[in-house]
Amino acid sequence: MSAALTPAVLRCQGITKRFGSVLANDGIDFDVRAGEIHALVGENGAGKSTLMNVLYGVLQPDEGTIEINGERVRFATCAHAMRAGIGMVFQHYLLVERFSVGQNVVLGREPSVRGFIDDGAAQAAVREIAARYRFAVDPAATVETLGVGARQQVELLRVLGRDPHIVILDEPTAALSPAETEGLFQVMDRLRSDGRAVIFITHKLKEVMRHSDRITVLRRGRVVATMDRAEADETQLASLMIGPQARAAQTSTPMTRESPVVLNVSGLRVTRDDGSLGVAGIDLSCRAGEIVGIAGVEGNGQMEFAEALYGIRPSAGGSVSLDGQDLTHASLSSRRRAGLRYISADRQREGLVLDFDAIENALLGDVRLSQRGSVVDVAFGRQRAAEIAERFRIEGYSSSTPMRRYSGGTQQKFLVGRETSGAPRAVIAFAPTRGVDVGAAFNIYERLRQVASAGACVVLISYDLDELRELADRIVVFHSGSIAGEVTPEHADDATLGRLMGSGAA
Amino acid sequence: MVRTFGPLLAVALGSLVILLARGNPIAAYGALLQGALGSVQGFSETLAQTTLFIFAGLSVALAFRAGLFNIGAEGQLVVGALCAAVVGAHVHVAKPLEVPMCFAAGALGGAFWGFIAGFLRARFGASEVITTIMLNYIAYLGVNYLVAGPLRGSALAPETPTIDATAMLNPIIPGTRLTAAFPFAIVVAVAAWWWLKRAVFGFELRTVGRSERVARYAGISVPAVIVKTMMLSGALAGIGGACEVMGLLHRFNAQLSPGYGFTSIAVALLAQSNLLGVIASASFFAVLANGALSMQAEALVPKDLVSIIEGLIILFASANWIGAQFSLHRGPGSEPTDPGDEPVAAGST
Amino acid sequence: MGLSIVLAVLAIAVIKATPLAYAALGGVVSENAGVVNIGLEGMMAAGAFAAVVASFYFHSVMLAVIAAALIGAMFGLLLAYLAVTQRADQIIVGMAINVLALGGAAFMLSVLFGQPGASPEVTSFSALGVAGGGTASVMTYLQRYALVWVAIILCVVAHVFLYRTPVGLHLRAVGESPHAALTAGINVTGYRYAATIVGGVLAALGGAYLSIGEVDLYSDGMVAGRGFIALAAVIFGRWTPFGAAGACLFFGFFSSLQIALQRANVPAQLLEMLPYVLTIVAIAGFIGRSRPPAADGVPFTP
Repeated sequence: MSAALTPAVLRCQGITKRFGSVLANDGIDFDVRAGEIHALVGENGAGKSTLMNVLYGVLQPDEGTIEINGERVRFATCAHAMRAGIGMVFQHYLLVERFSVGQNVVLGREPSVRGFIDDGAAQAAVREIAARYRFAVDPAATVETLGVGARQQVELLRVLGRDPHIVILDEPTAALSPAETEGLFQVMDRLRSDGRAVIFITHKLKEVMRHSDRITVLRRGRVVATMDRAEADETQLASLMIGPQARAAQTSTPMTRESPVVLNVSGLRVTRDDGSLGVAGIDLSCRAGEIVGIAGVEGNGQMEFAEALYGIRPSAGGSVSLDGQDLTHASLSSRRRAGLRYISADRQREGLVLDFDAIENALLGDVRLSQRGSVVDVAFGRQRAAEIAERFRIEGYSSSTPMRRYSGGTQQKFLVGRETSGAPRAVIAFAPTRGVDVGAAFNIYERLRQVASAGACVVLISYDLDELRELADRIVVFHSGSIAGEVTPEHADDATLGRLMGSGAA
Repeated sequence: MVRTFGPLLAVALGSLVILLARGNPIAAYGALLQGALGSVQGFSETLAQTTLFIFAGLSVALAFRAGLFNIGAEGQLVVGALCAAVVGAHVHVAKPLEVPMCFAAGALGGAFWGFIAGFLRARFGASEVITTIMLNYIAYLGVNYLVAGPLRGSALAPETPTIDATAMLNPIIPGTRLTAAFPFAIVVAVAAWWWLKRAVFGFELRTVGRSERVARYAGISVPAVIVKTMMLSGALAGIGGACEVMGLLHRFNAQLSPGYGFTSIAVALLAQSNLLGVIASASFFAVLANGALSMQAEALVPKDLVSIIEGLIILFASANWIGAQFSLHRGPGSEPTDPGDEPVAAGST
Repeated sequence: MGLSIVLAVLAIAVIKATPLAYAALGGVVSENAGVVNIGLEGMMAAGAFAAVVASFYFHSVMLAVIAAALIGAMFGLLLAYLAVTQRADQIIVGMAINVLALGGAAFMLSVLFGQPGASPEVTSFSALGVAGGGTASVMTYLQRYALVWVAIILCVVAHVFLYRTPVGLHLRAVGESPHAALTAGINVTGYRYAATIVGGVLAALGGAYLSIGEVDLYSDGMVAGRGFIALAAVIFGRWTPFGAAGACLFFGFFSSLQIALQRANVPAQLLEMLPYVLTIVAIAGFIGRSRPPAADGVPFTP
C-alpha cells in the first residue's frame, strides 16, 4: 500500500515507434514502482505489446527515453534489458519445443563444469525456483509434450530464474483456464510482495479490477489515462479503451425447435498429429437459423474438431452429415460444394492469398464451382468481390489492389464475406474476430446473424466468452475433446462457464 | 535497386574479373556482342540458342510459380530429346504428323522425368531441390549408356540414328540453324503466360505457390498440383530438347545441352518467374552464351566468364525472394513456414 | 582372404566418405543454426581449386589446406551475409554460390594454367612421408591420410560441441527458435554467421581432400554432385554429426562397391548412377520421420 510513495523503478517518456506508416506508439509516458502491479490495458492494436517490446530491447524506439532507477538507459538488445533487471513473459511463449524444461529455463546462463553443461546443477536450479512459486514441473520433460498451462510455468521460470526487478507479463491469461488464471495471480501477488515491479498487459477488465494497483489505458498508441485502481471502474475503463462507439443492440431471429437439422455430427473422433485423441466422441446437431457457440480453453479439441468438420483433417470415427448428405469421407472440396464453409482465425495462412487481388481472393475456394470451361470466371469473381465490398462498406476498395494493402480488419471482413457468399448451408467460424478492431467485429457479427437468418447454421468456436454470449443461441463447452456441458446465454456467466471449461465438471 | 540493375551490375563486375585476368573488358564484351549479334550467322545462332533457353526457362519459372524449385530442367530436357530422337528415327508416320509426334514424344519424356521428382515430393515430402539434381545426373548417365549401347544407331559414334527427314525442322534462313522452333518457343511462352493467368489449373498452381496452406483450405489438392506442375515443367523442358534434336542435331548425342542446367534457373530468376519475361531473359543469356565463344577466340577471355556473370545474376536475384519461399525439408502434409507480416515478438499488437 | 577384402572395401568406403563427411558436417553445423547451405557443392569446388592453386605456388600441403579453409570461409561469409542480414532466399543464394564457384574455378583454370579442363599436377598428400616399411610407414600412413583422421575427430568434436556445451546449446536454440534464443540474451545473428562460416570452411576442406588428398590436381566437374549428396546425408542423418557421418559412410560403402563391381562387367554408367539413386531413396524414405531444426531456412525477423 505504500507503493504510491516509492519512486518509479522504470520510467519511460515520450516513447514513439512507427512501423512504416503505422504509428504504434505515440509519445507514451509510463512508469512502474517497486512492489506494484501496474496494469496496461487496451484493445488489440492499441500498442501495448509494441511498448513492451521497446522496454525489453526487442525494438528500438524512434523517439523517447527510458530510465531505470533514475538513470537513462538504452537497450540495443534483449541482453541489455535483461542485465538491467527486466524480465518479460511473452504472450506466445518463446520456448524451444525440442529442448527440455531444464534447458529452456537455463538457456543463456547454463551452469557449466569445465566447459560442459552441468545437467544436474541445471535441474536442481529449476526445481529450486519451481518450489519457490509452487510450480510442479519436471525439469527433464520435453516442452513439446506439455500443455499450455505447464508451458506458461516454464516460461515464467525462465524469466524469474534471472531474478528480475521488473517483470512484464504480456496477456498471460489468454490461454489459461480459470483455475490456472488464479494460480498465476497468486504468483503475481508473490512477485509484488517480493518488492518487484510488475507490468501486466491485458484486455480483460475484470482481472484488472481485481489484481492491479494502478491502471494505464492505451488507445491507438497513446496513453488516454493513468489512475489508481481505487479510482477506476470497469465501465469507465471500457469506454476509455474503446472510445466513443455505439454498439447497437442486436436481435437475432429466434430459432425454434421445428427448424430442420442442417448439420449433424455424431460420435466424432479425431486424432492429433502425435497420435493422441483430440476429439473423443462429439455429438452436435445444428438447426437452420441457429448459431451454436463452442467455448473452451484453447487446446481442448476445438481445433481438431473444426479441422475434421471442414475436411482438413480426416476423422478417426463417427459421422458428419449436411442436409442429410453423409460427408464423413468426403473431400474438402466436396464439402464446400455441399455448402460447408470455414472462416479461419488465421486469415493470412488459411483464408486469403495476400498477394492476389480481391477478385482472385473472392474466387478462392470456389474456383472450380464457378469455372467456365477450364477458364476462371473472372466476371463472377469481380461481381462477388464488389458485393462483399459493398456489404461491408470497405473504404477505398479496388478490385485490382492486392489484399495485402488493406488493414487486418478489412481483410478479415473480406474473408467473412467470401465464406458467407453463395448461400452456404453451414459456416464454421473459428475465432472470426480475433485480432480485429471493434468496428470490423461488429460487421462480422452482423453478417453471421444474417447468414443464420437465411436458414443456414453457424458453428461459432471462440475463446472470447463475450463474443459467444453475444451471438450464440446456445453455448457448448469443450473439455478434453468432449462436451462438458451446454448452457444458454442467460446462464452463461463466467463462473459456470469457467467450471465447465476448467475441469469439465458442471 | 538491385532488382532492376542486377544484370548491369553483374556485367560490370564481370569487367572487373576480366581486368583481374589481365584482359580488356571493352574488347571482350565487344567481341561477345559482335559474335552474338554482329552477323547473320551469329544472330541466327543466338536466336536458336534463345529457343532452348526459353523452353528451359519456362520450365523453371512455371515450377517457381508453384513454389517448386525445379533444378532438373537439364535432365528433363535430355530425356525429352532422347525420346524425340528415338521416335523421330524409328517411328514412321505420314508427313504432317511426324513433327508434332516428335514434339509430343519430347514432352512426354520430359514430363515423365519431371513426374518422378513431383511424385517423390508430393508423396514423401522429398525435397525437389535434391531429387531433381540427382535425376539430372541419372538422366545424363542413363542416356549416355543407352546411346552407346541399346539405342545406338551409328558404328562410329555413340548416338542415335538420324531422324527421318520429315521429322526435321528446316532452317528459316538458309545456311543457319534458326528453325521454326524459335517462333514456336515464343508462341508457347505467350500461351503459357495466358494459361497461368486464366486457366483454373493455373489459378490453383499460383495459389499453391503463394501458400500451400491457403490452397488446402480452399479445397485445392496440393499433391495433385505439385505432381502436375512438375510434369508440365518437365514437358516444357522436354519440348526444348526435342527442338534441339529436330532442328539442330537431327539425332541424339553427347553434344546436346552442354551444362545449361543452371542457366535455366538464371533465366527464370532474371525474369522474376514471369512467363512472358522469360523471352527477354532467355535472349539475354543466349547473347552471353553464344558470344562467349567469340569472346574466347578473339579477346582471349575464357568463356567461363559467362558462368560467373550468371552466378552474379542469380546472386542479385536472391535478394528479391525474401523469406522461406522454398523450403528444403518438408514432411508429407507439413506446412511451409510462411513468415507473416507481423513480427512474432510484437504479440497481438 | 575374405577378411582382407572386407577390410579393403571398408577402407575405401572411409576414403570415399571423407569428402562427403566434411561437407555434411558443414551442413549439419549451419542447419542446426537455421541456415540451409545448398552451396556445399560450390564450396567444395572452391576449396578443391584453392588447394591446388596454393599447392602449385607454394608446394606446401599445409598452406593448401589453409587456402581452402580461407576460401570456404569467404563463401560462407557471403552466404551468411545474404541469408542472415539480407534475409534472401537461402536456396537461391546457395545455387548462386554453386554457379559462381564452379564457373570461377573453370575461369581461373584457364587464366592461371592456360589449359582448360584440368590443372597440372601439384604437390599433394600422397607425396608426404616416405616409402618403405617399419615405424616410418605408420607415420606415412598418418600423414597421407591426415584429412581422414581429422574428419573423424571433427565428427566427435562436433557432437560433443553441439550436445554438451553451452555454446552448442545456444546454436541449436538459434536454429530451433530464434526468438526464444534472442530473448534469452543470445546473439542470433552472430551465431548464424559463425555457423555458416564454419560450414563453408568444412565444405571447402572436403573439396581440398578431393583435389590434393585423393589425387593431385583439379579438374572440371571433379566434385560431381558430392555437395548435394552431402546434403542428403545431413537429412538422412537427422541433422546430427554422427548421423550425417554414418550416412556418408553408407554412401562411401556403395562407392566402394562400385569399384569392385566394375570387374563384374556391369556397365560403368549404371554403376556411377548408384550414389545418385541411393540419395533419392534416402530422401524419399526418411523425411517425415524426422524433423529439421524448426527455424531451418527461415530468415529471422526480430
